[in-house]
Amino acid sequence: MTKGMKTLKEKPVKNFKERLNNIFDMPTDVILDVPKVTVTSDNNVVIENFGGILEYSQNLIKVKTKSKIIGVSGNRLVICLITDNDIIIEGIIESVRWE
Amino acid sequence: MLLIKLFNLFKGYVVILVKGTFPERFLNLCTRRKIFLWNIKREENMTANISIQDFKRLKEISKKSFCRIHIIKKVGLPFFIYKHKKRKAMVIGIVGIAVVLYIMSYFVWAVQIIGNTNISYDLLEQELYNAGVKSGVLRKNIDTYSVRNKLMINIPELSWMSVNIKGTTAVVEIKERNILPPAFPKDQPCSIVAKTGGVIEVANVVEGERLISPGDVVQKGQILVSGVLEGDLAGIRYVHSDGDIVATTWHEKTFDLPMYKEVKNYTGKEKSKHSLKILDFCVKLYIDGEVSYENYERKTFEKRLSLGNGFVLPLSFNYDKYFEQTVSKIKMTEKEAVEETYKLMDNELKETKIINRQYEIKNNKLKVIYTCRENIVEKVGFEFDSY
Repeated sequence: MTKGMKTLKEKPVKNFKERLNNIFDMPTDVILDVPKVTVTSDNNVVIENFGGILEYSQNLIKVKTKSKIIGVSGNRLVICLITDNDIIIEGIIESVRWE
Repeated sequence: MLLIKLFNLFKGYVVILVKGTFPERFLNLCTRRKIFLWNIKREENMTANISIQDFKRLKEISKKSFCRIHIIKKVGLPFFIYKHKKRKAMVIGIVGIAVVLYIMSYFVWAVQIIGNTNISYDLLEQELYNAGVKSGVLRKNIDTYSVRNKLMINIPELSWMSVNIKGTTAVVEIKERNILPPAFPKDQPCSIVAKTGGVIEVANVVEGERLISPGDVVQKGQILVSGVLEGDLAGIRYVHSDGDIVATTWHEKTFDLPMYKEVKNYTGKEKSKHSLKILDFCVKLYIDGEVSYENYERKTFEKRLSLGNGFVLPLSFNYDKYFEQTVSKIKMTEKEAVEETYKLMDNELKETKIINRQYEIKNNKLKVIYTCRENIVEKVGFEFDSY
């Protein structure tokens, strides 16, 4: 518990690029390869800047990004389109979570 | 999205089935090699769409990811061409149609006239025909400038027109001129007489000798302003008299009662005559052409075949429908009759200002009296001794 509190109070470590980005006030998703997730209604998710697919089934798609893993769960999930940067998932989406 | 789908159909793609324990690995390898996949569905095995060029590069990936790949479906134009390579007649047919359409696009197949209300459609069509705008003419042979000139000269009612060739349609847009009744020539001496009888309200005379004053009762044809001026010194002068003379006038008309109106009812029977028109050649699509109905309404319309908006083909389908009707005469009530006559009179006295409407019914006669205010100037020339 105490450890958890400590980590919360600690300032998040920022690397050089992030700090530079902060100074110049640039949109983060353009400069850093941070994933950008767009959810349209409950049937369309677009993830930009993803690393690769970890798991793919009808009910769950796990996608690796630079920092965390994004899990999209739902029903009848279809990867509408996949390129080296973007992935478009369609289906009945229940949740999008960072793990 | 439709455009992308069409593009994919044009380029051709393959639907593949990926069998293996880790299709995720297969996907990752594909993305790393910039192989484009779409519509990936996962049930027991994975299916995906892939373009033909990329499919050829899958061999290595399938080995690396321990996946086996099967083709389920081949979709698109390249496969279609491959499949029908040996069918010469079909190829000739497709090419032939394309060539025929291409050649046909050089001609004008339809003439569209917009904006005529008073000038009859037939007259315009005839004039355009004479000027060289007709169906079956090469597009480049139509000199829009000279066509415009010819028509403007031949039809004096035209005030403006334009000829545009859109696709295979010649669109002729016209504006009509309002032709006023010929005014009495300004340099000729004349007198003013009353167009109708009435009581003079206002008499503004610009030129000529005024013979009446407001309040006078005049008869039809009575001289109101004389163009002959007699002076003590100058002798007799003849002038072009001019002015506004407004009078209250009465118009009355009698109608016989009772009045009848026609009521049409459809009996439900109908007959249709369809025909196919190729250029000026008509192909009947019916056998029994006689319409045996006594009274009928005819509805007709033409459907021109066209590709898109501009490319009209010289093919049209004509629908003709005849609906049988029964016509019965029904006696109008007095009120209806009065309204009907009012309508008639209103239309007749459109140009005057109607002040009052009255009616009387006596001995089966309906008498309608209208009180109006109107300008009763009518210019009349006269004979005079020239100097």
